[in-house]
Amino acid sequence: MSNDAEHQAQRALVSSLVLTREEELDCDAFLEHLAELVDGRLATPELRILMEHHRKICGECEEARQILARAIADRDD
Amino acid sequence: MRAEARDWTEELGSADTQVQAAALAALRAYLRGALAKGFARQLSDTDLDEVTQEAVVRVHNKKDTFNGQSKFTTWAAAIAVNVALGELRRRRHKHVSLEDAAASGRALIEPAAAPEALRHGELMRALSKGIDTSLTERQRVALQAKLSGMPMSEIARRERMTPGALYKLLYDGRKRLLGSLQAQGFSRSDLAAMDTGIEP
Repeated sequence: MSNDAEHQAQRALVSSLVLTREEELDCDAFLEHLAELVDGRLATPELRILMEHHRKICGECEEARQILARAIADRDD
Repeated sequence: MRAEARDWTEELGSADTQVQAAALAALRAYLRGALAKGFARQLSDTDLDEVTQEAVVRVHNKKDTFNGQSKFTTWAAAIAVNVALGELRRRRHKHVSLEDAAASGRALIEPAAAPEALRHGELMRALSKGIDTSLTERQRVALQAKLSGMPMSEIARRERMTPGALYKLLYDGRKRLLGSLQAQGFSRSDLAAMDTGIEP
């Protein structure tokens, strides 16, 4: 196994611990509000903070956000 | 709720079959284009057709849950992106068992794999100990599989959980690990200091 993979896994684990908060959104809740985040229409500042935190801690949900942002860019609806 | 150029939920639910068919066709065309743009070359034409069809069905089935907070097309595209990502992630890991992924993840954080700095090695030993002694079996397997690179959606699917339930399982595991590290003399500040670029 490469040192890069080891370093990445160790870093991911330590980062997830450093970022642990009392209140967090889970992936289901993040995805439920993803369209609102991408459209800039989140209902409250508190929800925005929770969404931004989830983006930092969950690479997969952040990947979904980036793809969605690309997918709807330049639409004319 | 903000107005959009067309009322998607009304048209998709219309009793007039022509109106509904036209809305479904428009939705299919929109989602296919959005997926092609979002995923660039990751999806073949056949993949695009299959994923789009699945996404159209899901959007149609869930249309009554749309709350109008975002644009309908963004909401529908989010569902489509999730369908496509789930399929891609499933394919990438279909030959890897959860147990093998967990074993790979465990090897990646073995203390021997962290020799470059004494304090870092100590932390990895403490983490390994915490994983072995403070987590439930399910938390341990899920965490190690995730560390190996297996996506949450795949781990959740194999464990017959929603991604949200898996997140909660791992969240509880993180809290247990933090407690274990604290008992072994590592504070959050110690962790943050070893993880430059992350705010404590």
